[in-house]
Amino acid sequence: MRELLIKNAYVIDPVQGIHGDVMDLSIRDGRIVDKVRGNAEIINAGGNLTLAGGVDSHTHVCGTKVNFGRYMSPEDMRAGRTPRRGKMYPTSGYTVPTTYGNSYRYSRMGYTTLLEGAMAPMEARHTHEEFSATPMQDMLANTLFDGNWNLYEAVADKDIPQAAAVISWTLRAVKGFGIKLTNPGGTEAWGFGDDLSGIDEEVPNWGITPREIITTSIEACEMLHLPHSVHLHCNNLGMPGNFKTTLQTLDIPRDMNPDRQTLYLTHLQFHSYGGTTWGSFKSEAPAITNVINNKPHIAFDMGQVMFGRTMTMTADGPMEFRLYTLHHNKWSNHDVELETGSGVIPVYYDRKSLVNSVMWAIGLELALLTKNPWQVMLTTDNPNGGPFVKYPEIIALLMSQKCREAELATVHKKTTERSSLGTIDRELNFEEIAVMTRAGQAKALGLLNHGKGHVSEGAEADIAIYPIKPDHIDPSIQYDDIISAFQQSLYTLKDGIIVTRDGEVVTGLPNRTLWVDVPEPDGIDISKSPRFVEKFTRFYSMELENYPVQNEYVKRGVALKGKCENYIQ
Amino acid sequence: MQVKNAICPFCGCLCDDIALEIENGVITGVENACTLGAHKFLEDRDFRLKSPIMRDGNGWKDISYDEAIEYTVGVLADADRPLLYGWSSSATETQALGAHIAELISGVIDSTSTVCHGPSILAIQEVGHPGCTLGQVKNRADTIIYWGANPIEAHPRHMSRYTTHADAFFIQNSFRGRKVIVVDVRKTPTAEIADEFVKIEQGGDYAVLSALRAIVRGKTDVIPDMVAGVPKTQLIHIAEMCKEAKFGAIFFGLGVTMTGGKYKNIRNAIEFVSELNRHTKWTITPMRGHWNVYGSNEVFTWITGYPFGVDYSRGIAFYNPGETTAVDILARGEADAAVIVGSDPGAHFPRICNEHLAKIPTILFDPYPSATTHVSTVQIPSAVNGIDADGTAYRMDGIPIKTKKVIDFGYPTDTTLFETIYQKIKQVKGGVDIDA
Amino acid sequence: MRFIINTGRTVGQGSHVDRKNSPEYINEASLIRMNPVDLMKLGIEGGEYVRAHADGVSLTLRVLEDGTIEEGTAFLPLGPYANYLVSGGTHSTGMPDFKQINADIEPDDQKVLPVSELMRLLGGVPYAG
Repeated sequence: MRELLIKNAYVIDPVQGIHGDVMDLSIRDGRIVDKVRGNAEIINAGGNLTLAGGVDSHTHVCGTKVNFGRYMSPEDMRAGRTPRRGKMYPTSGYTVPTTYGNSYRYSRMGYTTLLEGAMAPMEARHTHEEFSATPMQDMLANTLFDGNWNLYEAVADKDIPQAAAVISWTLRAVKGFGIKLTNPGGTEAWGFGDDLSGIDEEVPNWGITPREIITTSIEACEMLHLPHSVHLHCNNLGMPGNFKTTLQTLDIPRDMNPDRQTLYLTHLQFHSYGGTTWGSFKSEAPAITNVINNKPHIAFDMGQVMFGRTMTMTADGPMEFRLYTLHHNKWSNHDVELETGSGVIPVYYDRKSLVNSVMWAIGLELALLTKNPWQVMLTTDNPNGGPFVKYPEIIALLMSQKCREAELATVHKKTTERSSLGTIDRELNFEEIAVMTRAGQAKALGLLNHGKGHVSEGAEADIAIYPIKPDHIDPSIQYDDIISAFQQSLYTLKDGIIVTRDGEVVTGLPNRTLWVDVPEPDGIDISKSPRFVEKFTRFYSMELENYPVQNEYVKRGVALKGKCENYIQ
Repeated sequence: MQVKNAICPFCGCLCDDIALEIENGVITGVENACTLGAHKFLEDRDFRLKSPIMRDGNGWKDISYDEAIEYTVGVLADADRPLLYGWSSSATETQALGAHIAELISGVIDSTSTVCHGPSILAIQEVGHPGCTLGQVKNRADTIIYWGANPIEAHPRHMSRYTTHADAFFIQNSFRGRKVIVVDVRKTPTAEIADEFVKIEQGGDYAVLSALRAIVRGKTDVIPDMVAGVPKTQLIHIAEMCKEAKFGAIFFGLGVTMTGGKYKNIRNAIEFVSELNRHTKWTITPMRGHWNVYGSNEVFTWITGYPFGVDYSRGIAFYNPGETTAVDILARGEADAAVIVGSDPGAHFPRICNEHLAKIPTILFDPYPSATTHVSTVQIPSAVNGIDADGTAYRMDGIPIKTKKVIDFGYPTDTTLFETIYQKIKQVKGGVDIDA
Repeated sequence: MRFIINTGRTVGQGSHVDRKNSPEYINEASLIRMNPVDLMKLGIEGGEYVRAHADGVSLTLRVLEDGTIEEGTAFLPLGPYANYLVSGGTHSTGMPDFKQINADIEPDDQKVLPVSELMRLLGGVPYAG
């Protein structure tokens, strides 16, 4: 029995409705309990801000394209080197740190759960190997389905149970967590060098549209009662005027789930562009948020851009190629047979660039103009918008209009003509920040019942204590202190164990991988379907027997079970 | 007993459809493998080293695994500049241990990439890598170029599994629907069956690639009548074939990495492919030699930040090919101890390197006596991955596959050996156990 | 006569790559392929021996006549015989000049050394077991 007592914690827990109470938190064997019994270790939180451990619902930290980003960028590795210190291995990397680098730096910021933004099913083993080397956080994998031929056949047949069967079989086979669609239809078109320009355009050779792929996936997802909703990287990322595609996409789903959103749009900043050319580029964040404010079944993460050098990496192969033709920088591409694509290219977001400055403004607009913070997650689509170590700066920008004004003074002069950021005086408070960095994510991912994102009795004792006393600070003026407070926790706890103290990792930890194991609907056994088997005998370059991720890769895997209703048409 | 869908632990094709017949604890039959794989499986048992051996004056003596491990730990703990080299025949689980040990002993870790596709990685670090998985090529490619590569001899099943003869979703008659171009200095067996053979002068790859790039960019006028032995007319023809392809794939080998401009050759090839992507769809893939050399690059990268040639003597990961790479460290006589894992520098490194290995404590982890055996001080046989050990491997296109253990001969796996060595070195060095 | 020796993989070399001390491997790895016209100029035939001088050392190899080899060049499978002749310089790339060995080749009357003896020349102790 292992007990810990945190005394004098200034707790903000939006899930429980605790708005800032100084209280004790009792922990036993990794979970929050009512009271400790015996010889508990004691931490004095000193009245400092105490939150549930951070949950990042979209970050690129593990897997094939992330590692591509690393090994093609020795200059980035040099930029972030640290030697061994205490129990910490040496790390390398600034925008694409090594796995231990990611893990330690996230832990220092109080994060205890990470969702890897994209995993190609065929390459899942790689993601899981890297998960094992990211020891300080529980890991989950968004599994790519945007170019999945088996799913496409179900979409073409308008067969929701079949689509659900493909999804549940695949998630179980590769130990995946959620359905990720990246530029659905576009990544398949990129297989021959094409892309799609609208959600009603047909995917070459398949006769289906992105709208149909998205709709079928949502229906299948809800049929399977997956913890997380469909997680969508919209078509037309990065194109001036793409807000129209986003609005059309927002119109697709109806509210199908009482516990969480029905559709999660990722890095929405990249999809909120107006104008028709780079010259007329402007923000359409208000138009987007107007819709979102009337659709409680939509949630999104910001995908905030921060100035400076960073690395873009997504499954959106054609989009990465477009960046290559724009920037002529070193470009990698990696299409995955029958499944999806990917691309990697470094970028530099420049204050002198009007387009980049407006991009920076858009992310903030989206967060500030959305009334309900539970619909907003704070991310940079790490590292696409910027490295995650910049999250504290984003927090400051959201909490302080002065901070935004100071930044606006340094960006392109026309930024305020092309975006509404200068007119927004809303300042988020600590509770709203807590929602956007842990509570909201846990809810969006369907992990509240699992015990993440809150510090109720029974919750997992993943806790972050930050060196900040909310009643004694005015974030709108002292935003620099806000930044340094969120950069390094006093304590980060995982499973009720102090893992990081004052920025130093003090103990190793076996992390867990959470994945989803739900039965196929109507007892469909897709591995017996001739069409499915033929994919392996004729078209995949790997045997079906060798495809699934063996249990050894998820030694501490947690299979989240669910139920599947019988589909009634 | 039959085992189906076993994975062949030989080349970068990582074929996973091998059928093995096992009788009385011996592999008696192999189906689907090429000559290289068949030899590997069928002749394996007869050539294993029975137990660890240690150099003893002008001869050798048998020693126990415990003695061999103690010796290894002692050598590594004492060494000022140890080199840990090889790794391409080990599973990723073992490679990870190697990276951690290297860090603990402030040593250098390098894999066989250094004398194989290291230059390709250098090129990728300059201009990126527009690639894809092999199934994409299989299903879509109507034009294939083998450049400085001879798959019929080095990757025998490549053409039947992934290119020329493979089933394709988008091509009706795969064999007739594809064109194969071979670029080489000599008419190799692969060149014999090509639709188009481009014979270039030794060291002429860079010039020919530049010429092709110029033609694709519409600058045919600047090309002389002959470039590195290739007539301008043929260059124009090849460039047209490339532009007309619906999906083209270049596979390149040591003919490009080892000659003349080395990594600059590959850089030029990659830029050619990136250029072609403005017109149609093209990818480029290095023909990795060992079945898990790519694994070493992947593992070293996610742990250290660099894909090979990693030097921990400064306490941080440091990477500088030419300085921190194995051949150079040995040629300069810098290493004062070496651990060689599942590779044979005795056969594949320049002479001067082996002269140095013969002088320093050299511990060889290899199931079979090799050329390196003769210059080592100790050899420790481990199980063979894919036969009596399993683990994760990365195919030439980055696809991770788990090999199978199909038999047990009582040999320890290299994973367990290195796990033991790692723990013992931690005790000696006072290394804090930060793993859970 | 001056030649550029190219080295590379062959099926024979690869088939026996785990048995480098076997006669099959030795025979394959020490076999230098040369153009018939060059052999004529040297006054030897296939199956006979040559001495290759490069990088300050020399080595006996057995000859195979091969019409696909360009005049003025030769081909050796990669392995200990080829690499005996390769210098340790890598031009700061880590990669030696494996495919560009500048060698002087002349007829020889000695035999090919087994791999173990070759390694003894480098300071090794042959393992016979």
